[in-house]
Amino acid sequence: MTELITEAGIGKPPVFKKWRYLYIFVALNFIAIIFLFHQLSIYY
Amino acid sequence: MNWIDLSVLFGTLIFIVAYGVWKTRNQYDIEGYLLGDHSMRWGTIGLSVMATQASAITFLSTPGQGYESGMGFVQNYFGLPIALIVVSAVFIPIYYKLRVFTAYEFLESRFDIKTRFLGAFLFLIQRGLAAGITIYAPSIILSTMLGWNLTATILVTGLLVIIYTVSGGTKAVSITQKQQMMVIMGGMFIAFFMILGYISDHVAIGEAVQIAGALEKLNAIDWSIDFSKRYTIWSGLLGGFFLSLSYFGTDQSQVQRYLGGKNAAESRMGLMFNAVLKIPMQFFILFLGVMVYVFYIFNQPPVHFNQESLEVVRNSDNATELVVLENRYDQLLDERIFEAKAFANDEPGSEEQLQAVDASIVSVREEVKGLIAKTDNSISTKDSDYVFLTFIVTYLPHGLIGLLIAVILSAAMSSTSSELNALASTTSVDIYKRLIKRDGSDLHYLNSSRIMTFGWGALAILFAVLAKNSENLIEAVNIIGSLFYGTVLGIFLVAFFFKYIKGTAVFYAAILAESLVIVGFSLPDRLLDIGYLWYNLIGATLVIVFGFILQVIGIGRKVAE
Repeated sequence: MTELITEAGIGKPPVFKKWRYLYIFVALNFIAIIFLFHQLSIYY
Repeated sequence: MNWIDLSVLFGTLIFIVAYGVWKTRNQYDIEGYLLGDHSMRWGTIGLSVMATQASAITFLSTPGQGYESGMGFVQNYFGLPIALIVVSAVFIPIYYKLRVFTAYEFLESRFDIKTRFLGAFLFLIQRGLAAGITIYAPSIILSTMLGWNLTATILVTGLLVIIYTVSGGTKAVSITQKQQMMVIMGGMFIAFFMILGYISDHVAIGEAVQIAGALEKLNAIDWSIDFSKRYTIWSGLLGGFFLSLSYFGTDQSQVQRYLGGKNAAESRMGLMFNAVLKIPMQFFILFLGVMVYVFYIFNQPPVHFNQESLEVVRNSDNATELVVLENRYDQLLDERIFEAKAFANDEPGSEEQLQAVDASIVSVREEVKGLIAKTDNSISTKDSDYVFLTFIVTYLPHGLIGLLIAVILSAAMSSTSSELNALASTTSVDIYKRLIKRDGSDLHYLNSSRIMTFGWGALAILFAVLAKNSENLIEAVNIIGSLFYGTVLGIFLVAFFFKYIKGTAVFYAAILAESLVIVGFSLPDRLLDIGYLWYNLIGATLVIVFGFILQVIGIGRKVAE
């Protein structure tokens, strides 16, 4: 099974690497949302 | 509701069902039926994943949550984007590589057959219950509000779903969900702009938002570290992360949505679509609820939104007490309009006055709830699920009422169809094909999957008909989910990240963890008071810890010998 997991590419850099900009975009978008919600909470 | 509403309602629902059946009329093999021939693009997957999660409860209870408690509930979804990144990066490659039909198939290749069955079994219990609630929840509210027959409402909703889910399988589910999401979002946007239009007759929109803020309805984030609070940023990030990871990574009703993708890239894009849009969508629905609150500051709201419960009190010995409370309530409502207008005009001291009179109104509403419980303690006193529907049927024009009821029923149908589809796949692939008949033809499995979809649909309808009134619908479904999700997630996390732990150890660890979670949840609050979202984290952690301990002491080896 260890082989299978390795073959399937868990945690292999290329899988993550290829998509990293999209993941970073999603993460930044999320941080921006929390920031905006926080601003909303304190402003009103 | 008049004939215009009924035409819009049935026209919309029947069109979607007919479209789903027609578009998927040529289903000849099991792969097409359960995985949609791997033909789905990311847009369809994204909307399908969103529609599966957003049930009718979302569109009835969430505005009610916004109305009653403000924006805080949105924190519940904070773990979702991070969880979806993990599912995209870790879970999807494995599922695609192994070409599985269900998530639990993976557990057999990683561990053993008993762990696969345990995963499938936990899913079947939890989703089987949830499917019943998914139909029951909107039906009870619609029947109470509109005077419809409860059993007939459940039957019509359930049967419409069964028609296209049995006939077209996964593809029909995804195709109809796309239409349903368009109806849902279209309807919600129209309702939102109607509310803003009504509010602007009294105050400017900016002032309305300020009033909501003064009444603490816009506190979207609670930074306090308090485990007994249901929604804080920490419970949302940590508990919500584990809940979402389990839901999107291991719940077949979601896994099946993205396994139907053309390839892993389309599936990933579909999930990232949700990672970006889900929180804004929930925010919008809650904000709509907050605006309904502001609307009701200037338009007389009922003292309790479930009129059926009030009727019980009116026909009892407590009727006089209710009249006294209603009179006080009416007087306070007049004072609140006055204070809200003063606050909008920036008059000094008006904010405190507005807050004080609003608190008095909330307190009278609580007294009425107490009176309902005193009159008949079997009646649910929560009325937040009725708030949005009361607004719809009282203030929206004909035609739009029909559209908004179509929104609620579309949402119920979209979630139920995914659930039935997934329940049938799991029963068919993980139980029937694996245990009972291993050498059947493609056509045999296609027909058996259709029968199972119908069977689960019939069971969900039966459960919905027999269901009792649940305290708060959206939370009931989440709580049921949370009690099982942690353990299932724990099994998958061990499978993906802890290669040292083998099948037997993880199997017993999961049973032990689930038992402890159920005991913990059953303990009275004075002994253990934990918000239910935390049980996702606790369940998953316990499986990993027990798995390690059992593997180290050699439980797996001894049993195998």
